Amino acid sequence: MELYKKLKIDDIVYQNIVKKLKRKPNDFETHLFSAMHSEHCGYLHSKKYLNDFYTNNNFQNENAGCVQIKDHCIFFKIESHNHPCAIEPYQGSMTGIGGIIRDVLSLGAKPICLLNSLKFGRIKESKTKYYLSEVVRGISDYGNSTGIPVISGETIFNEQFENIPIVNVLAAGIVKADKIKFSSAKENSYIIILGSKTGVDGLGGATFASDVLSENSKRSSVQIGDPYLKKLLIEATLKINSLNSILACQDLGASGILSSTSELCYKGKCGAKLYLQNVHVQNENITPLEIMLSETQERMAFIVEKTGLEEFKKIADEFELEFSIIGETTEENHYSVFYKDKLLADIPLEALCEPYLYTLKSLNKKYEKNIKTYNIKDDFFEMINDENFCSKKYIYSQFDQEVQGRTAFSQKENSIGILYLKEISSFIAFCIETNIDVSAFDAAIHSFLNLYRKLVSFGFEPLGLTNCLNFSSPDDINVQSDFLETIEALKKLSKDFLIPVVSGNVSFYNETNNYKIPPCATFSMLGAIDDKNKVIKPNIYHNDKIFLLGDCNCVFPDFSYEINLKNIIFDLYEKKLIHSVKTINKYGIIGTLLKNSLFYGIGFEISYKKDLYFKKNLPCYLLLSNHGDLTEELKKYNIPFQYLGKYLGDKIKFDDLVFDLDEINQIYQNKICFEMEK
Amino acid sequence: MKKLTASIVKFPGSNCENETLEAVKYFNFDAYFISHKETVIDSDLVILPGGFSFGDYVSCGRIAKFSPVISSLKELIKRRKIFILGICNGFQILTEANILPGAILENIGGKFICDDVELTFLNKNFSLPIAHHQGRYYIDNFEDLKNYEIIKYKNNPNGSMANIAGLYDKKRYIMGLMPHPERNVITPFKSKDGKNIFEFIRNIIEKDFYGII
Repeated sequence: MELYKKLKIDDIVYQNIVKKLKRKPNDFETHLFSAMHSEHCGYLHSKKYLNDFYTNNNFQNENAGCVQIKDHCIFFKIESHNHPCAIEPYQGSMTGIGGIIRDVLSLGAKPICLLNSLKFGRIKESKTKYYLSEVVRGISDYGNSTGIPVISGETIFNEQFENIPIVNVLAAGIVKADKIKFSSAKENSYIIILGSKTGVDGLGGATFASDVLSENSKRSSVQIGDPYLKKLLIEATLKINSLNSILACQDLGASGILSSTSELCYKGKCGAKLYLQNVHVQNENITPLEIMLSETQERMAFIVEKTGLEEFKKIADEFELEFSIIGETTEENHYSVFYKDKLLADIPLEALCEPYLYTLKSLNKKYEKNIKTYNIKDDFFEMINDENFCSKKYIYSQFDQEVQGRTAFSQKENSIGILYLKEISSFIAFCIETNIDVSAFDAAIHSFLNLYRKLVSFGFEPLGLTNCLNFSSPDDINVQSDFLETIEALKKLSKDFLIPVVSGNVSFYNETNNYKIPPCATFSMLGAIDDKNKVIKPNIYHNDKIFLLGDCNCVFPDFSYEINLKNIIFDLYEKKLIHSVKTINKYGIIGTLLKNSLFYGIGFEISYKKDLYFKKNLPCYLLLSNHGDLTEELKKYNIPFQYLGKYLGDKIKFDDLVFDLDEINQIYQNKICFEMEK
Repeated sequence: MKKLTASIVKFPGSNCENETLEAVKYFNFDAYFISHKETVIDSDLVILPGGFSFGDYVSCGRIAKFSPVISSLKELIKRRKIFILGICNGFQILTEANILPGAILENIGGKFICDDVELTFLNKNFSLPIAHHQGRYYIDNFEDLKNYEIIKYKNNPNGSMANIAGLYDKKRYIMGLMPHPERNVITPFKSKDGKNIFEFIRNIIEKDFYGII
């Protein structure tokens, strides 16, 4: 069998390589192509479709995209680390955070917060307990010691994730707009690697993440993180990137030295000569190929002007970090790799960095409308016993939510994180959401709108979106079609709402021989506000009147409807007619009101249409007011609204049903801890 | 009025130093960073901030206690009036270095805890956040604490002996505590309860060091 077949390069991808090279690649080169043209690095199945969102700037080719607020940029991106977490959940989640932090850092941005979106099987399963405790411990150990607060997140428990936990992490960073460090190299400069010694951990991680998981999936493909070293690397990188002699910076993630150096040079329209014997390594027995492909953590690549070496060295020494000059950039667009005077690879960069791209098929799937019968008493008990509804304190209390001292509101039960950034005298907010139990198209729409409303409900202007698209194998036409539906929905929404899609990540092959994950598109949205008085606080009080604002019959609302609602809410708050706003969560009106009841210890009493009590994704808001006559005021806006009832007492009352808040609270607070300790 | 000075020690791996600096500035200290290798200390207040000094390898504070700044502090306590405050990792370093008595062990439950906790100190009640994995205070002989004021948890979160969240040595002006007062000072929408620690320290320094009443 030819080598390329052993390395699982598709025939069509290989033929494209031969065509571009005008020869067959040698064995060493074939290994390089196998990594760079893997799904994980090359986006072979998705790249064609990711270019047509509404965008705001030219950072599409960077490691993360941004939204500019005043004279600073907030860079943010989500990354998946599903494959490593399925094999080694502790190291997998640690290095997932490590990777996404580096993406932000490489642009010169100081990391300011993390969010996560975690999906596991049902809590009663022992596998879930293992994955949950290890993933959370990994995020906790890494995020906490690198000093970056985890400000919000979501956890979904569903039997479809029992064998493949989905671990998506968002990192955001801030940098002054004129200090952004781009990832395009210039010729005749040094290529320097800073940080850990290169070793054999995480070898072949990119190709491993581009295949379905199996019994043979290798533990050695999982990288190992070191948060202490990362903390030093963050501080050193921020300092180094402020030097003018640093021309470009890139993190070493998937396919390590190979992908970082080739991309730096390809983007900068120059070439590279690498001398692998110069790389600082853990063990002299490491082979040249292992040096190229190793995914050892805590390393950064810099393109440094030759005159800048001394100042670079000074900073590296200050933080006691090792570095090595591994090569030089050249004028020709060639990527040449040497090891002790032997030329191992000599490839035009275009051939290395532009893989064959697949065309996907759309099936125009028809979905049957699933009309759910309801029994509100049963629905209520089902909800309060569902671990998806219950308090996630077990998870978020293991994350430092306030380090750096910027966190105004954190996860708790708010599902939003709000930071005050003194650099721009503004507040920013992030929230994150995934919907899985509807079609891929509808899921994308619901996630987008729910995030938009969540930001509005805290008074924030939504400004940008990032996504992480987790799917099973793209060889399956059904998966292709789901993927295209997600893209279509996101394209339409971003253009209608003029909310830029600043960055994104695609993770295919989330399946084992027997299990596939459902389409799982995670979105996160950023909002900002520069006036403290405009931040709508979440607090509820005794005797608050509850109003429903919006049209419950509206199935897929258009953007003018949503923007109108947003303006009404901002207006009502400015006039002090309302003091808090809630969006309808996945458990409908009752679920939303109850979550707040449990958090603030106040019961409620409402009456409304039975069929709407538990209806999720209602295109509405709940307004809380202690104003004398909000009804008269609301009439002026010419939009449907309804008085529902009040927050009061210590009971939950609706539709002749009465529940004791304390009793529900016992289940709510303890369900997950109890299950985890079983 | 005399401007008091505060130096904040940056260990490799410290991560709460910036907000600590902001917080003491808010309480009118002239504040600046010093390195863990510093041996010349001339401020009224020295703060060992929160974080994971030297990665907290082996155990929290175990490596940091060998830093030159710690030996200098030990000498300085004998020679002049100086207020030392250790917050979280700083408290761990102070106990590791035997500047404060006792030891700080892993939380009961073995997990990191980030939460707001109710505290009592000198008959005042207030709330501050904790964020630690190793915060369970332990001491062999309780008698050793008779000269100390104790900052107590109302609801013990981590299994600390006698609900101890922090200690204050009245004679030597040394305080160590697990909660983070610097997080509740200037951040919008947070309580200002950090003042219960920082105002107390400022008043003591003014009164005992400079005779300002």
